Amino acid sequence: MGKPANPPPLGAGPKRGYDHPRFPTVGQPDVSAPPGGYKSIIDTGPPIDAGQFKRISNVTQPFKSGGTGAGDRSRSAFARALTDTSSQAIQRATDKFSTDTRKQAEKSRSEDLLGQRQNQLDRYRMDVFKDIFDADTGTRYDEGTKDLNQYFDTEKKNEQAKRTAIILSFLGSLL
Amino acid sequence: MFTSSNTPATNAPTQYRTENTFATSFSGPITQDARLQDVARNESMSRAAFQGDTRQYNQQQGKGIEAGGKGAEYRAGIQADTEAGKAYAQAQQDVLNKAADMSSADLQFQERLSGERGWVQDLLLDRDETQNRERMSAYKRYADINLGQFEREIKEAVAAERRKTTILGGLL
Repeated sequence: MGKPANPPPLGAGPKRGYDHPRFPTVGQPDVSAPPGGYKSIIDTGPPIDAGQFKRISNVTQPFKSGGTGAGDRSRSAFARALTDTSSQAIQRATDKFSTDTRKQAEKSRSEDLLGQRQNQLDRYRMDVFKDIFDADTGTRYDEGTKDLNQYFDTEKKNEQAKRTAIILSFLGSLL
Repeated sequence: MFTSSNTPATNAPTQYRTENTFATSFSGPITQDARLQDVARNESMSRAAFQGDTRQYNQQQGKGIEAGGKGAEYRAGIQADTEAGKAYAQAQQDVLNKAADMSSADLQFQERLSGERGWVQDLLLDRDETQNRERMSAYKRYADINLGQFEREIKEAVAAERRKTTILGGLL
């Protein structure tokens, strides 16, 4: 038995995200969402519904005239103007509060979900590292066993050859 | 389990205690007293009704036709409407304040609870990682022990083969 052939060329390393028959992927191929998906308890809906909105902007008119005189009509118009102005101001305030709250809720929800995704990614890293470690340890174990078996076989053959040589040498000395 | 007690060493009040490493601690949205907010609105409405009373703005000064005339009554009415209008607007502002306080408290609770849940998730991950490392070490140790034992046995078997050769050489 002469010198064995060299092992096959190693070639380029396999690329992430592509299956390679010579280099099977260890562990999960990608991060996955937890069972049920990513969920947030943060409500991004309008904090004030249409009914509440109507109730908030329903400003009572301070004067309602039953009369028909010029004074009554102008005072009525003035009171209505006051009410309309107050109502509009409070509608604007309500709308601003509602939109500000929703903006804040959207931001908080995205941070909540991002935190969960980060956690899931870290967990994925942990799982894959464990799978790599297990595969490496298993390979080291198998290859180490093979090495020792081969060492024994080689040494046994060497010793048998030596013993054969001793016997042949002895027989030669008898002739 | 939540309890409130004093620590014996310092007598410092302990407001929260639990045996659970991974439980969240927020109890719920904390809002102002809704009854008191209703009272504020009712007061604003009462004030509006009171300030809308024309008589308090009626000027009694003046002589003849000016005293209690239609012009004075009109002016007093306008002033009453203005004051009442402010109070009615304040009453509606009280309604908005109540709704805003409740929804703000809801959002704040949701934000803080989700924040705490995020931290707890990180704690769970840390724990799992530590336990994982312990399991990985156990696996490696088992492999090392078995390989070490096998190596010693192989060396002994090789030595036995060598001894056989030595004995044969001595005999012949």
